[in-house]
Amino acid sequence: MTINNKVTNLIITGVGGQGNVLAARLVASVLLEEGYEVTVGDVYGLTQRGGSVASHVRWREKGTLPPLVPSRSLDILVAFEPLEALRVLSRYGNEKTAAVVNETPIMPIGVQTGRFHYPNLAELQEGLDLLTEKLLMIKATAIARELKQLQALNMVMLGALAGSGFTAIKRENFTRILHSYVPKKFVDINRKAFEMGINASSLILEDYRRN
Amino acid sequence: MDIERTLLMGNEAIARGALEGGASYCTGYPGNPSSEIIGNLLLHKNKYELEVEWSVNEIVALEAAAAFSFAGLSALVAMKQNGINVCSDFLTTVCLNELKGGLLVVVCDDPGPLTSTNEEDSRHFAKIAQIPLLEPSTPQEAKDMTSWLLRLSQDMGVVCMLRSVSRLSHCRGGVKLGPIPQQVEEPFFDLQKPLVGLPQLVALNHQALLNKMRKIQNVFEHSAFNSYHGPSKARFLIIAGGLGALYAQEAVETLGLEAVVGVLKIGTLWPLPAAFITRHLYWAESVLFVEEVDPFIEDQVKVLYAEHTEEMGKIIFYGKNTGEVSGPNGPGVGEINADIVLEALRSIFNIEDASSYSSYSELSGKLTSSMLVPRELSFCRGCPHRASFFALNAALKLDGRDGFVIGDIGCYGLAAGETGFNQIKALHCMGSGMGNASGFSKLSSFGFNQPAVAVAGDSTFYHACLPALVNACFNNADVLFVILDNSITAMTGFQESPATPSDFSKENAPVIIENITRGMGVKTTVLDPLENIQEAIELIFNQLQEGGVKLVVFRRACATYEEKSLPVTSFARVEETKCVGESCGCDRFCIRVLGCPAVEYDYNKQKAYIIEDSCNGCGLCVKLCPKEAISLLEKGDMSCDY
Repeated sequence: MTINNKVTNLIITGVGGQGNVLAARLVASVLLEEGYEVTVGDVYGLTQRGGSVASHVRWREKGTLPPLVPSRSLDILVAFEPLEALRVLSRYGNEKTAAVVNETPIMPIGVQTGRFHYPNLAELQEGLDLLTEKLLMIKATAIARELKQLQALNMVMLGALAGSGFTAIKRENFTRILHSYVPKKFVDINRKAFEMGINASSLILEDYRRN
Repeated sequence: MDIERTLLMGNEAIARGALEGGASYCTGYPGNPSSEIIGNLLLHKNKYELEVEWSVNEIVALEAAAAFSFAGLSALVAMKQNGINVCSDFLTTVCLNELKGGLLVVVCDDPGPLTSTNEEDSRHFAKIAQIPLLEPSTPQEAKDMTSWLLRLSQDMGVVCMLRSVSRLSHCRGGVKLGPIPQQVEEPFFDLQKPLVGLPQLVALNHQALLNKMRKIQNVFEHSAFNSYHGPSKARFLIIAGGLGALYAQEAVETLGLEAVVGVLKIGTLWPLPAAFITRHLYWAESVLFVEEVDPFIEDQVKVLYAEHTEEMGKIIFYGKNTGEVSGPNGPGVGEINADIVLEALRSIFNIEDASSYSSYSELSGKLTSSMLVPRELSFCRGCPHRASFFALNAALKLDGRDGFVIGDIGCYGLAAGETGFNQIKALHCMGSGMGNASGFSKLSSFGFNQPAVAVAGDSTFYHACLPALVNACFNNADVLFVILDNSITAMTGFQESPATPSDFSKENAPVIIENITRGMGVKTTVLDPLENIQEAIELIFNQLQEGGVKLVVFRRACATYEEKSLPVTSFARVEETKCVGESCGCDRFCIRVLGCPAVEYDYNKQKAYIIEDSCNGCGLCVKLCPKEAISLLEKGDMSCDY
């Protein structure tokens, strides 16, 4: 049997408090169960205080990988915030990168206080489109709010990733291990959020195919 | 079939290693990137025969842990790189003892740094104290090395050290678990073997230690923690430690240099396995070093080479001393990564980097420069520090003598930036603000009249501020100390401090700050800055006009921690008819000044608005809005208008 030893590099980025660390753990656990060698690199510490956060998830069939994705080597980006998508792509993106990006911005403190301007959303999206081969913009915050559970944003985005087909990770493997990562009373809402994420990206993909 | 692997963070793996290595007592002081080690062990405290504690600082943590070792049980101490400085006074004396139980010091360095005020390389302490040092490359090794070192420490009777770095401590990977030993020795302190460091005994103990280190070096020569991957008799050798070994391996594979370049991974860093390295050096004509922060392995290998120059012939060394291994800020600065190793190999082997000149890089550069704004850190929603620094800022302005604030490490350190009104003007190590402020007050005899106010958190107060406070009293300083008591060690992930009450009724903290300071005779005032923002400003202003040592405790629970157990019940809302936007004269006070994550400005409507599910109802904007345009509402009657 031949080993497909290609490295896959995925980055989950967002703003501190959006739940990207848990999302990365879930992805990594599923990959580990599927038999891959997986490494997750997290930036920790000041993450609660509104800074940029990114979890690097890297895997292959054989051989331990270091925790950081080398520059320009990103295969898949999951961004919980559009400006953070640009930040990651500026260093790690390449012509082949596929991305799932939440549409809703979170204003940096420098924007709130008037020192900087958040880019025009249409222009930002256009920029992300230019920097990716495939781009799915997801209304993930709106979906999480519809569920009255803003914290479920990360599950919506994971669902969107699962629905995108950008990785070969099996959907049912996500839902199966969800219960060991979220408190019991939140399992149902997270599962629902995950499914709504799948639907959101499936709908966009269908649109693409039609046009 | 593989043994089942569990996904563990590096620090969780170290915690597991403590259990598998038979540690009976684990101590430490919180500090990124080390905090999850003790945090994780606390979760296991009741499952195993185990004592675990957050100690008040690192030297106390090491001294307490050493007691177990003296009585024949094993112990582990965890800290960040700054911690080894704090405990080094005890470390450099206890290392001379013949220990009965294992004693392992785990230090997590923060190259970069990602969350520190320096990027110190703690490995040098292994050399200073003459203790064995290992550094892992993966979470699996982090666990294996921890348990192995605990046993080595017990077998050889020496203190041992494990060095990790942020990226390893916080990365996750699959780990095969081992068994946890059940039986623990009966603890006993042998009165016939006193551990007394009298001068006349030191030389003998020092000699005994160095003898043991020679034996340990022999053990390291055959250690499975050292390995070689590559062609036999490689003429180009990479010598790497820690994550450097993985970065090196990846770079070699990426550039397709596997047939030419060998990677010598060194896990046992002190004493260095000299014979093992010499065997590989013998064939090498070029050597590249990859390790975090200082050229620690690099320098030692060069010493080794100096001892064997004749038999080895000429070797060209590439590394931090010669400048090939360098990040954007120069060699020896910042953390290493695969890009740095790739760049070094490309320049040595003359391989062009196609990606750096591509149209993609050009495009991303253009988009970045036009659109990418920084995301600076800010206090959380409802953070009491926002009120405390607002009060300090206002009071120092009223005072008008160019006063300033000196701080240290903790969430409140963010007050050096906009979120804390740029108040903190000096920030170094735990508790340093207090000592600095005492010294500033002594400048008055040289005509200096700028008031220096020191701030420190509750956890920091116990860790490092008590000597400075006594010093200020003893030497009659005129100084104002402000303790920002949020009753938890928040920055590092909400570890309990001696100020943490067991049930949020503020009376029952284990050690009460004002009882200590009043006992010292320091005039102490306690106030909730969020509830009493105007009084807080007046209090600081008034205290600045008085002589002697004064202390203010701004006490209010950390909002983010409190939210974990108490649901948010209210939120603020801007009444659009009352908010007059830019024509207020306040110049958009609520957003410009407060910088709260929940308050934004609608430039079309020219009104401030509050993202209601981002607001925790602390009410600071309600109290400060000049037009009284903001009011608090109960969550229950929230008309959900998402």
